[in-house]
Amino acid sequence: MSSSSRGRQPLKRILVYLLAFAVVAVALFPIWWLVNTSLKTPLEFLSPHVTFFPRAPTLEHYRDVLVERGFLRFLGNTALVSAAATILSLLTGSLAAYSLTRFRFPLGLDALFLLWALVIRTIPPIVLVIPLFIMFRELRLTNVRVILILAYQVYTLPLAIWMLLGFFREIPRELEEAAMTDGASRIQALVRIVYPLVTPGLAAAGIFCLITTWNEFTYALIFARIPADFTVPIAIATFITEYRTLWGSLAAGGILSSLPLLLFTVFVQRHLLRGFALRGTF
Amino acid sequence: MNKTRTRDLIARTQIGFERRIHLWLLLPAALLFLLLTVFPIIYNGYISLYHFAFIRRVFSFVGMRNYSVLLQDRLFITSILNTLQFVLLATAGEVVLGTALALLFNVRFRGRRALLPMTVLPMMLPTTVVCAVWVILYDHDFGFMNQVLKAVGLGPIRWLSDPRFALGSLVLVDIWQWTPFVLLVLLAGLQSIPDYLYEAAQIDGATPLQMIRHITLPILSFHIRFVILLRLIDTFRIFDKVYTMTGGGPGYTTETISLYIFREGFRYFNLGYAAAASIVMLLLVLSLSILYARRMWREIRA
Amino acid sequence: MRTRIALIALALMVMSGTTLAEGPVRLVFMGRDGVYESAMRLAISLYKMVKPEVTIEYVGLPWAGLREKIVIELAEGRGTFDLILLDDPWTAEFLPAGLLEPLDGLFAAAGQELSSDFVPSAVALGRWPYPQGTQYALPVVGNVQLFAYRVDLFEKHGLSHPPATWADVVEAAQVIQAREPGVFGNVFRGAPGNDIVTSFLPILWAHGGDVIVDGKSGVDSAEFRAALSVFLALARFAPGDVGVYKAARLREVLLAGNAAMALEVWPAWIPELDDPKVSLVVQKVQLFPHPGQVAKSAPMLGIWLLGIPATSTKKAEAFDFLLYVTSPEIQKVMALHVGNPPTLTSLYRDPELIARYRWYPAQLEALLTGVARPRTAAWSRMEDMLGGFLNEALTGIRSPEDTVRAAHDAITRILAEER
Repeated sequence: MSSSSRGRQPLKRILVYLLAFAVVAVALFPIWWLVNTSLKTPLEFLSPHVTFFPRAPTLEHYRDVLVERGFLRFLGNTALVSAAATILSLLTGSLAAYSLTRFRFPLGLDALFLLWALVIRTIPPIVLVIPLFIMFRELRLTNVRVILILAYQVYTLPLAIWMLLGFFREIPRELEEAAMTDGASRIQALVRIVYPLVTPGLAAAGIFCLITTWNEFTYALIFARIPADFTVPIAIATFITEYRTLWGSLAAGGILSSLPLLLFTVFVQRHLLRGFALRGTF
Repeated sequence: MNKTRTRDLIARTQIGFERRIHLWLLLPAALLFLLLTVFPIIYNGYISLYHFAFIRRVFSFVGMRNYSVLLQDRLFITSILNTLQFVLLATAGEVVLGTALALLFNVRFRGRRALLPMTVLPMMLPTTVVCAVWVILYDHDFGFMNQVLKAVGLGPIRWLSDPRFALGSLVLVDIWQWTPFVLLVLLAGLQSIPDYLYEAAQIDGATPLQMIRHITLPILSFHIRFVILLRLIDTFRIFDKVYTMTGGGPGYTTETISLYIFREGFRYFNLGYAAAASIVMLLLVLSLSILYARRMWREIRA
Repeated sequence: MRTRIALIALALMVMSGTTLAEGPVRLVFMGRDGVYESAMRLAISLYKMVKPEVTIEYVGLPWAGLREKIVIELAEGRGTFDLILLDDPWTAEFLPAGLLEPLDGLFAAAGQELSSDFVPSAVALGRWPYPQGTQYALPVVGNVQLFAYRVDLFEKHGLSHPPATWADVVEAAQVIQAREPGVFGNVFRGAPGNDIVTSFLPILWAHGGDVIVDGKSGVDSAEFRAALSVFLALARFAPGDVGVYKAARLREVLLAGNAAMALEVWPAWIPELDDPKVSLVVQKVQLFPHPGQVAKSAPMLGIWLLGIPATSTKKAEAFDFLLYVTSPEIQKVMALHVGNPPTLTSLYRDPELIARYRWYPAQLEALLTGVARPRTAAWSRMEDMLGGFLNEALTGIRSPEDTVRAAHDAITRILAEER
């Protein structure tokens, strides 16, 4: 069971393999169905005989999504909003996390701040949507991308602060103090010494912020006004129109939209499991 | 003379800045919190006391009336009960299954590194797409799930339109999508358990089950409680699955609080009333999570 | 190429008389996506040839959420939009709230009059108070429900067609489902809310009932009960999941040949029935206005109207386009090239259009006998409530009698709140 027992008994080994493959099969089957649907012609999709492999595979849905529906634009919106929201959170969140791990605050301000971040993490996004809607309207803020970048801080900032906290705690103070006795200011010490050391934490927090915002639905649904503003999840929802559901395009769009996320995850995979370690998950 | 004073001033400001640097560093995040969370919550409380009909531009003070109407609305109560049911079923399913899977993937076997990332794919897809696939699979007459049931000799089920199963079908989708998350968190926890503990136990002649019970689970328990909290919080917001898969039906059996607020706020534009419902939801989630997380908070802070 | 030249010639022919401000004008038009968008974009590109100085930017939104976006834009009063395409039940909500500009002043200023060729039931939907008041919007899409049935199956099983009454429909559904493996007697959309209500209302109307009768709830009535029992009988011969079916699913089931009847199809996608690329029932489906019962046939109108927001700063320019897009020539072009159902009576008798769309006579009949949904500002809420209860009856959560009582109470309460 533990990592030390290497499954020497063949029976146990077979069992482990069977289970592992069953799990992977269950996880992947609906995704295979998605791929399958994205390659079928509309007529084959309608046919009552369910087919596990497309009879006449077609790329027409990918063409439809990319060319006819300008999917790259939605992907661009998503990437922009998601990346900007993540960077904003990593920046402000890392400063806050650094400050909270290095200094004592009067009146338990630090505890209050952390508690508030925790509370925000628990609040369902729909609860804030009405005041945010009215507030952005009163502020005459009409750029939907800016609105979403700000609104997404509700999700990403608490996440970033709590994840980074543990990473900052692990860095010995002596390192920066040594730099400061050598004449560096605190900001210089922070930028030159601390940030390089905390990169794994930034990567781990970054991937969580990205996953959360990349697929975000509620705020994007309410704040996006016109198709030019749509992010991928909202654009995909429009493939379910009143009279027809464009199953093929919907599946193709879903696959296309998760590819960048997947690539990024593979890219930072090294940090991923570490990010999932407990101190990282908030 | 003048020059030295200026330099002095700069130096003093610098010292002042350095001395208060902890506050300056905290400021940007604090400002974002104030603007995007503290103020909106207070504002929500304020408009919840008004009859605010957006289309007809009516804004008149009604005191607690929105709340009293809300708490008498059978549909709102139903939506709370449905949400709680969803939260409990989904969280329980994900944590039990996730724990089992974490134990499984903690065994070293060839190909583990390749298989593990595949299990994580479900949480990378947009929920809209996840829902669409499951709608196809769930279809009563043409879907895959019922073909499987038929093959093993069970009758077809109306996955999404039978009042007994609809909520459960949504739970199943959530379990499919988010168990990998639990798996990863717990696996990370498992890998933090040093090998020598197991080796020592083995020398003492402990069976694998005993090792799980006496070493793994106690150390993992904090992680488990933590991941339970996370799933409770996230399932409580259930909106997109209901919105795209059932629209709250059949009848009102999958109506949830988020959907209720969305409909009152952004379909009927009854903003004051929707704000009142938001406040109730907020109190509900806070009281639940505070009850649950009080002890964990102390452990985290320690 | 030849069509293009014909279109240009046509565009130039329909020069409208008004001369407007010099210099370039930019109008922003919010409307629906899909066929509606194709039709409007066609009209816009033709208009550009007549009035090169006017640029019209079309923003096409999906139906789900369109009403909400319109409300947000219009109530904000920023004047971003100059033309708005709206579904007919929304007029009862938007017109009394003063969100649209009355058209009589614009007609007078342009020296024009309301065409008498408009289908009367459609043009009345743009008036407030309904149906005789001020004209606020003009119908541009003549959508109406039609009833579809598989003529091959009806003949195979010796059933007379089209079914004359709803009782005949139930019987045909039962017969075909019993004798034809893999085919359901009928299909409709039964998802809570707008979907199930849209399926149910023609049955209710054919039984002589309505949701609101003389300003009061018409639910607690013999007519409603009779209609509900027909509806529930039909559900027994429908796919198991009708309780979550929306129009898209209905279309798929019909196109795949899995249903003998569809309680409603809409002109927007009817042409696909005969398109072998997407349909397995080419030339097998016959369309006609809904059956009657004690009352005459009563299909539901789903007219789309074009109006000008009260906050627009370019009303005269917007109105000029409004006249253009409702002119017989442009309505015909939109029908021929993108299948947009016209709103002018004369076009349904046009030989060229009938040759192209065999169901046009039936469609005009449906438009003329068509019934509009209740004109009340609270219709969205009422429709959701009624739809929720009907769905409960459909899925067996409530008994029919319990449904009647609950729906009656809810509608009575909403009407009281309105007052």
